Amino acid sequence: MAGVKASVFPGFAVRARPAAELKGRHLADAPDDSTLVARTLAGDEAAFAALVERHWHTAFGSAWAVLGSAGDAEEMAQATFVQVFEKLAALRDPGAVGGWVWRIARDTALKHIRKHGRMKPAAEVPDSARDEDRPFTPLVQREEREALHAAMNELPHEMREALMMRYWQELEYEEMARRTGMSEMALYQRVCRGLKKLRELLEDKT
Amino acid sequence: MNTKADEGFDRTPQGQAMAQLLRRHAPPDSDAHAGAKAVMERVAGRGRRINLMRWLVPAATAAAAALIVLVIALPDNTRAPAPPTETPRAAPAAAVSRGVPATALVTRLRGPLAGGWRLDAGLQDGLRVGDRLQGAEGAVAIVTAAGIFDSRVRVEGAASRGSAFMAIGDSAAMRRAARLGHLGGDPGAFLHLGAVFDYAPYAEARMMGLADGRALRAAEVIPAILRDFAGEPEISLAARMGLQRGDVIEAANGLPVRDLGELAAALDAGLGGRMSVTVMRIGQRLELVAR
Repeated sequence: MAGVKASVFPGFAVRARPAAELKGRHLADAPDDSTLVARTLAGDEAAFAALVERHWHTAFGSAWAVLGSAGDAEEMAQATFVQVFEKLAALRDPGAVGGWVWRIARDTALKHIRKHGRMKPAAEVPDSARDEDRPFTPLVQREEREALHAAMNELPHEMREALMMRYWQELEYEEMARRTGMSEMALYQRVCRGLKKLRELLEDKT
Repeated sequence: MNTKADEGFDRTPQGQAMAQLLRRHAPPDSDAHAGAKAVMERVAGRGRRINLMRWLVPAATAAAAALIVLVIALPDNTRAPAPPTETPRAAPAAAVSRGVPATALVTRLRGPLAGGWRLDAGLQDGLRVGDRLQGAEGAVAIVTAAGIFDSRVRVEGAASRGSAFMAIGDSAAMRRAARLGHLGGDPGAFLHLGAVFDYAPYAEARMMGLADGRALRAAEVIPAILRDFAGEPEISLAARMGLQRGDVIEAANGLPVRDLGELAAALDAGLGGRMSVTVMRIGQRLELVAR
């Protein structure tokens, strides 16, 4: 068996990052949402800009999930934050801005569809490509996307946010910790729990 | 909720399948900083429409200019009809921006070698021997040997170290890379073996007498692998055994195998000695052996 390194096969099952590596790393240099909300209400524009930047991908991702078009989603994300700015004083739990932004963006996008109609469905994958890959694509892409997003809507926001950062924005745990002020270990647990919950939600539907 | 029990779920095949599902349906890139700037403009400019227009016009001009620059910088992207929303996203879209298919595999040439050039993407990215990648100014890179993470290519046309090459969104490479995502675990381990697996259809596995209907099947056999970049491609273990596409794995090194984890463990047990895999091929049970 010359040429095959001993580490090759066992590497498959146990590549998980040891938990100890993640523990104790806590990079909290960002003010939390409640602080930013309070400062915005006190008239600090920079605080609101920071809030928008922090939750931009939540609003954009949520609108994109409904619309499937980057240009429209960007417009909806902007409209979302204008609403957020107007209604900020009425927000009861300033720590829950993220979930709120997700819902407003979703509602705004749905309203947009009702008004202007849905985008044309994207071009289908040619049949030849689908035949070759049939064993691997159990669902048609669009159905799959819609099922995923229905499940995403039911996730608690902290799990959804962790999943979005990890798998939509492809961030490392270190960067996620820097942005949220949480420990990498806590974020890792959220991602794992989120994946598991997502799977349960999708299984319930099928 | 027991959080400890969920740790590591992201590394299980089920967790990986969920992660791949999310990645397949990831939204395109969006610039949070620019978004925040636009929002601030709208918030500050409500009731002052003239100011808003003063912002919108340069923004639209800048966006159009950026799009033109991108179109010039990435020639031959007219062949990419796939919209960014419906195709799997496999590569980090470093050189890909809005307006260009976000699904393209973009990779770079590293140093030239005696046998050609070294390219920064390999089997794991879906590249196989014979694949063609498009570069700037009509340059083409043709894969002559593939390793797990990098490949050797022959370059036709002008290119230098650091030149970017891309596989277009709906190319075979992208479909292969997406397919690897369905496997769970670390595809790299199985590319070392020289085979990519999927699961046999339930009914087929039941007909073979597998009670729970779960059986691994070879979806692709890669004949040769570039292990050491300076060296020559080696015949892969799967090819030496004579594994063929469609073979259903029953056992390896005498241990029954039903999933990728068990296959990894069974192959590991035989390292350094005689390796054997028992397969079902068109109704026949065969024992494939390599030393």
